[in-house]
Amino acid sequence: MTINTGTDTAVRKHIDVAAPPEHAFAVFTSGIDSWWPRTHHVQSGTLKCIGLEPRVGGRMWEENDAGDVCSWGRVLTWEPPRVFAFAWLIGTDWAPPAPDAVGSRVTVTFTPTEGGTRVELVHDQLEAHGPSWPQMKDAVAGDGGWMAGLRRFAEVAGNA
Amino acid sequence: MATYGTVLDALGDPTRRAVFELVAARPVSVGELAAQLPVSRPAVSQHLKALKDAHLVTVRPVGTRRIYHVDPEGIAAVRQYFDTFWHGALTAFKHVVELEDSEES
Repeated sequence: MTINTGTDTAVRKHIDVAAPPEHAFAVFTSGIDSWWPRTHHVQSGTLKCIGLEPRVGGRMWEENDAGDVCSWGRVLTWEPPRVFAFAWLIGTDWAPPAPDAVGSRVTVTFTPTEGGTRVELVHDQLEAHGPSWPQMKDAVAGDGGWMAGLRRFAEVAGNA
Repeated sequence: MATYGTVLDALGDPTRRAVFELVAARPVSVGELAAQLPVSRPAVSQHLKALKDAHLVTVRPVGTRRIYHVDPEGIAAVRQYFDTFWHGALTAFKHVVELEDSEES
């Protein structure tokens, strides 16, 4: 399938996983709490869990250790096991988004391959986050996001 | 666009966000912006200057007019930020997928 992003400033990533599309789709969506970088959350306190409502228009939300719940995204496409897309309402400053924020868009496709699944991710319509760029400069310098992700992997792998 | 709260913190004015959204939609002159917004031309110019200082918009002369458009530098930085985020997140995702799948088989 062709992904129409409408912009050449999109983030395009892909990763190959040794598992069937059904499993990859399930882990990415219903299992989002198992891989999301724990340092990336919009509320104060620590992130307790993150989840989503598995339907078009469903919320993507997080809960902190105080029990507060905040919605930070909205499901745009729900077509298991092949396509999942959502509106990303969080600016680069990671402040809680307004309910009517437009946001950018993340589209994830799961394509079967000989070795399992190719997962492609396109994050476009990034102009939506332009106004938070001044805050981003500090966020980039201190970004522990991907290091946090790798530490999380090490934890999960170690418990296997 | 970024949240209302984000704009107030970052640039101090929802009108500034509206200016940025219009510029992002298509290249425009100050006059065209003022015609679409409930603020004066000088106010629009002020917002454009702030957006320009933040590397969000840039201007080029077209004949006698000055046309504002999105500055690729600001957007490229936003793109780089999310590229870094997804690199880490997808790596963690891959390991969880393969770990759980190997346990089930």
